[in-house]
Amino acid sequence: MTQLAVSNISKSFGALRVIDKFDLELAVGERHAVIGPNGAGKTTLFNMISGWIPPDTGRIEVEGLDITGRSPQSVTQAGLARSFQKNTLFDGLTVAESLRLAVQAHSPVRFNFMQPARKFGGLQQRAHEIARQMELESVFHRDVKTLSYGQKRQLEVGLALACSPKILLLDEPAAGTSPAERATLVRLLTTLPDDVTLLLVEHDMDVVFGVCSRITVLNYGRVVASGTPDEVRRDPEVRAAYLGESAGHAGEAGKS
Amino acid sequence: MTFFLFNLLNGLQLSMLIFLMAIGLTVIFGLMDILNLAHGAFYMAGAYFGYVVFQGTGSFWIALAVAPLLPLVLGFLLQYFVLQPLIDRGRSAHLDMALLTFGLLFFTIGLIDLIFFETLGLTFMSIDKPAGLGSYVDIGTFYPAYRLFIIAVGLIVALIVWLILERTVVGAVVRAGVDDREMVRAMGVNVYVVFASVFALGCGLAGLAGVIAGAELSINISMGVQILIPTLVVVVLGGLGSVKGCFFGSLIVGMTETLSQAYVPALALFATYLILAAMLIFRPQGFFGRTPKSV
Amino acid sequence: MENTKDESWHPLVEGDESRHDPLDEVANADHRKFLITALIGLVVLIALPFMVGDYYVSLLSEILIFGLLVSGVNLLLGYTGLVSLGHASFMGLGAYATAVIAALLGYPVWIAMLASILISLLIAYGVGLLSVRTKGVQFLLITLAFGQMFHAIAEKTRVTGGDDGMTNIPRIDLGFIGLDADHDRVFYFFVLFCFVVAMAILRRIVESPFGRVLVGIRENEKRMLAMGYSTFPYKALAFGISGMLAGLAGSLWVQHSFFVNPHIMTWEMSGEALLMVIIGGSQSFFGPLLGAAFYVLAKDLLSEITEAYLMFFGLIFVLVVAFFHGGLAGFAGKVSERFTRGKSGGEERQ
Repeated sequence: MTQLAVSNISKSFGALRVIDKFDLELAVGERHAVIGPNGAGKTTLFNMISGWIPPDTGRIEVEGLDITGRSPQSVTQAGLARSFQKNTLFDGLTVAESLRLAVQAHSPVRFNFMQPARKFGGLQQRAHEIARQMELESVFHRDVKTLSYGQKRQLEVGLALACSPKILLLDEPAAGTSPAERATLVRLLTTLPDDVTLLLVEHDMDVVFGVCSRITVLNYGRVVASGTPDEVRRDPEVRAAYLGESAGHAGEAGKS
Repeated sequence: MTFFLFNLLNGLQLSMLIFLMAIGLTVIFGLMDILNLAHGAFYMAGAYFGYVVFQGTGSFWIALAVAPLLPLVLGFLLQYFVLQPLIDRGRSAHLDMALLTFGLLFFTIGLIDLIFFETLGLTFMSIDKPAGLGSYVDIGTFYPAYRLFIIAVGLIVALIVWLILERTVVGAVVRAGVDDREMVRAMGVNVYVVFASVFALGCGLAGLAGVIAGAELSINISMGVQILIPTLVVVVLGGLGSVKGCFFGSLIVGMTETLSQAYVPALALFATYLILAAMLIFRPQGFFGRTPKSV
Repeated sequence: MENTKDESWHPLVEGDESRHDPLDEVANADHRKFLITALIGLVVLIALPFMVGDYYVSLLSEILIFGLLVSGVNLLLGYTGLVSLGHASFMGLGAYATAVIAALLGYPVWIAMLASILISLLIAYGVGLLSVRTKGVQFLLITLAFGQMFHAIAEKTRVTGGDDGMTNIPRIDLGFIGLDADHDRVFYFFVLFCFVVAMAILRRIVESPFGRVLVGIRENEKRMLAMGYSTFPYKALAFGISGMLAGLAGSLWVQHSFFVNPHIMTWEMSGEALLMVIIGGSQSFFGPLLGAAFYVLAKDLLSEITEAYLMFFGLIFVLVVAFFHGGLAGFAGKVSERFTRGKSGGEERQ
């Protein structure tokens, strides 16, 4: 069954065509990565799917529901939650408060303005569950700004996961992490619930190959190849456009 | 017809006075993200110091040349030794500095009140217009020469600012900084000195406006706030950080204030604010402002 | 259209105490601390008027009235992260509404008060709908613009006396419980009653899921949108509520001083409200009240020495923004923490 269907979307900024007639179909529970060199249009693609930038043409559907051109908050309410490449967290709140806010966003009590939030134990329980899942239990009551960088990346994923999404969009979750932190991340991502569909943008190939079963390669806004990791690795065009250069670009890929 | 010409010139005169204030405010905001609400205080500093110099020397021209130096120096010190270090220590340039300079405005008003009113017993003062500019000129209608002088100063300053920004290296750095602050940092220029100098020049121009206004309007305790509000409107209308927008914004505000006063007095108090509110609702980035990046 | 998702994992039943999560001891401890502080404060506020002279009773009323105003301002500034420079206009709106309805139209003051609260809520909500589209410096400027417009209207309106304003505004009639509000002590207790009710409601609001959303918006609005919150209606409603508190303050102010003029709506007044919030400590529930008390008392003291009291407030304001971000409340919190336990509610919000 198709969970996310992106058909024929394009986006230009001025004369520059950033995404050109992009298609993608994700089945329920699929683990899919979008890779490509810097400037390939990955971030723009993510911003379009998650509602931050309207596509010029094309259509985006979540379980058959058209979400093209909807606002980010409405896309998230339709069941598609995202994380950010650059930490976008609540620095002044604790981990618990942050996760509770995310859980609350998808609970009917989010409009309640007359009862103390602490009475809604369900929110707290769910937040705690997510913290356990993301291995943040030990820092549950710590201020976000005191977390290590790796923990912040985990929380970045956790905030998206706490929205109970059907589809999870992760924008370079491993960006800037150490090898040890990356290993933790791979472990966490492989234990995501089976019914959550995952779409991942990532530079780090260990994370991509460790987590995803299908890969789409993007270059200059076009799909160069799509298939299983093995198929992609063997694809000559991919080797030319991306992996072939990876020796020269290894350092660059790590930092951005 | 002559009544219209008279009002048009009055509007132009007010526009130029506001422009002298607004140009500094908008470049400072564009470059450093600081909304300097103390700009009104520097205007007052110019006017009051101008009055002191004038009393000491008896010359308008000396006052005009010397008085802007005080806000200039104070502005440099404020930015270099107070604001920038605080921003480096994690205070937000955007809001904390707006609040801080707002407090500074209150402080200055109080300080001037203490010195000039409570200690010296002075309330409404003015600087005498220089010989030759105190009379009227016949240009189809009799028009005060001094107001033509204000218009000329405004236009000359606009031209100089434009030349500096467009034709000099310093100007290029400042323009680059308004467009992309990170880039200037990466260029290896001593950014803090550039910041403080631009801040100082902006404050100096506010001081210049203060001295000039001191000979036309009266020097009093509420003059800083009175000019600050239309100045803020201009900065928003023109787009925070835009020089061209600042010039046209000044014309719009100056003309609106003057012409509404002359022709529809009932609207006079609202006209400018109506424009501002409409602007912020429909085009919050201003006429010439850059569209904010969404993600 | 918004939410078609399965909610079955939600184990929440509103107000069900058995669901009270043991994990949330921090929140419960905070709540206890709040109750104790509030109780001590209330005892002090009840006892004080019996211990000081008439003049100071009047000052106490002023503190409470400004306390309402600045608590409203702080709902935006401290909780939502929006700096308004136009809140004096809502105070003025409440004041003028009460004056017109009670003095000009001759309705009982309690009706005038209720109407004032409603009017300021509605108008503030309307202004909020227009202004919370912007944020940061733009928001500051648009609230300033609206404030100046209201001020101009007040100056131009002839039935309310234009620049001179209105005098002989009646106070509330407390005859039904055998009291005369024209006595300052009686009126003080009426103000205290209104204050306690309003603050209790405000506390409920900031502690509710709605209040938590406001804090989330302050911390990171982009993330709130990404998590699925439509932040706009939250901000507009917060603006409305904060304007309503200012309106109540105005309605009480006009009864307290028996007169009203446009000066109450100037942007200097809005600025002084900001001053009180910052000096007292934004992002804390009681901080702005400390700020109001400090402001009223210090102004009273200073005005005996000099008219230039603004100089001192400006200086204090600058110092607080630069060096003591938590204001008086933050300072008090740090001190009390040193005497009690390690990490707890005191650092709940910075």
